[in-house]
Amino acid sequence: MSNIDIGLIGLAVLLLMLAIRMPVGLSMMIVGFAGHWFLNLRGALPSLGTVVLSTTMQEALAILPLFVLMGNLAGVSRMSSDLYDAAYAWVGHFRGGLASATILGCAGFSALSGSSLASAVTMGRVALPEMQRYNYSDKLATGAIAAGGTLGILIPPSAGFVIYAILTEESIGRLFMAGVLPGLMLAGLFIAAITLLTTFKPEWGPAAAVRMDWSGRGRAMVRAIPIMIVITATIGGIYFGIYSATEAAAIGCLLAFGFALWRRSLTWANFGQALMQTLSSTSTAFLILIGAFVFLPFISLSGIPAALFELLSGLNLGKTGILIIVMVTLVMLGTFMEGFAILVLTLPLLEPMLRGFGVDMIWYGVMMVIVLEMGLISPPVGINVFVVKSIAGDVPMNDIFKGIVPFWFAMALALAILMVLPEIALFLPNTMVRGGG
Amino acid sequence: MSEPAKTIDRALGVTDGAVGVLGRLGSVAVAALVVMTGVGVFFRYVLNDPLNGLGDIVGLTLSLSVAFSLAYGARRGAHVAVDVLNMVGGRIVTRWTDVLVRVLGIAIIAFACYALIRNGMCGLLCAFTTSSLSISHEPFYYAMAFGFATYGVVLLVELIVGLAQFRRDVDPSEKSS
Repeated sequence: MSNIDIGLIGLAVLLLMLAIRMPVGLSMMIVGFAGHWFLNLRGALPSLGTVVLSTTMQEALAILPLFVLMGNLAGVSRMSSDLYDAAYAWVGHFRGGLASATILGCAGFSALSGSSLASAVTMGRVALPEMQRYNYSDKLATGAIAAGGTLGILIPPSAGFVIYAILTEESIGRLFMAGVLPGLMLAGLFIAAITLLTTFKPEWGPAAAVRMDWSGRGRAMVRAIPIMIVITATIGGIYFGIYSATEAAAIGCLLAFGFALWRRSLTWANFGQALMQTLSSTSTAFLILIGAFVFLPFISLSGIPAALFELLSGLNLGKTGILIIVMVTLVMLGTFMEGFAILVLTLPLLEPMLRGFGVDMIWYGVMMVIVLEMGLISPPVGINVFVVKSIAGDVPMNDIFKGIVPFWFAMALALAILMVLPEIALFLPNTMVRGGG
Repeated sequence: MSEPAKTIDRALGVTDGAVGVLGRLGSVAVAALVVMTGVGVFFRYVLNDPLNGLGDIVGLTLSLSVAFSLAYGARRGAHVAVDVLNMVGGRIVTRWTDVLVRVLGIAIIAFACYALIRNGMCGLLCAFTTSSLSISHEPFYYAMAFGFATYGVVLLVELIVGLAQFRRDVDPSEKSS
């Protein structure tokens, strides 16, 4: 039996394990360890111990709990309400304006939190009652929250980018910067979709309130100043090369903690809750990462990535053709597989091939994260949809999925635009003061 | 509530209590990460006097927070799994596959614990130390083995509870996680 045969059997077993609901991290550990054992008996066991500890000891990975905690503390300090109020003051009076304000609020909160679930839950709790109060269609209201929440993993800080960066050995700082403009573009496309939708179906998003005067807008913006400070200190610090991404995360955490204290919204109970939620997210990310790092040597030893590269090279499709095939495949995977699972399962296979075709891995990372976002709202396993359902208990799942359709197409359009114009993703990373850590 | 149901609730309650303690320890480690990185930034940029070897301490603290988080995450349902089977086959299928999943999970965790303890015992002899301060990895290998072992214990409890309530429409472990 050749190494490639063993690799293919390993992949089949992996899919089988995922199908029976084995956690992704454990599935990859089992297949990676067993496969490594078959290919290189002596090295498998010592390597398992070393990989497990070394993965969890990477200083750069401290960014994951730190940014998650920053987002949780931002939620505690009621920054989400201020963000929504500021967005509401500017666009609330337009038709569909509350849905647009939700998108803007989500985009802002995404700069404080690396999790799409946290963005959807936090903004959803603030925005949904408002939209229901003004008789917005349930479809538009829940669709906007679910889609807006996905911006959490595109606009930095992003847990998706951190895991991608660690697996591909790209700079976390450069990837964070690469997500900024596409994230803003996507937020713009979401708002365009809302405008288009409410033009044809005005009853879905009636104009909510009278136009707020300039002093009202000013007051709303002043209340949002703490958020601006946190965002500037973290993302600005990374862009101008003042400190590393991990240091930025710690500073953001301390600032969010300080603002929560200042606003007297921090109690021992909710501080403890924020820490425990952070720990839970830490376990999610690290079990997957451990699994991925146990799985990687096996898949490399099997020779499958090289064989895949040879196979696709023979098709003479060129870089764009290959990318289109990859993206379409990932979008299809996203309909039944969780985003992080797709990320860690496909990267070891695809990365050597994409590098072989000369694909910029920062650019690809941004496109991949958009695909993950599409997965977050695609039926039947779109996690954001279930999160929104938990907030909007009386709205049928069917309505939520119907509401998501225009946003899903906006994401597909964003993906197409990025394919044609990679500069949108690459401009900021290429103009950063320092490489970013 | 029947006696077996009470026993199951008690078993899950004890498990949750124990992983809750681990969760608190992990939370302290996360808070320490914030403080240490913040202090590092202060020394480097404000005092212009970088703390040598802080990266080592941050890395080791991170590994502790991960070790304490594994079992806690398992009880909170934090470990990502592809949950299509439940929609397609329902409990009729998952009551069988869950047994397999837990047995396989315990097996790989046992291997991981063995590998971690073996590496830990080798310690300084195998040059398992941090890069700047040469802190031995030995206790951290044991801590990680302990973290994985507690995750294994959680799976074992869930396996026993799942088997005891095999015919029920809902897996009690899943309901509470």
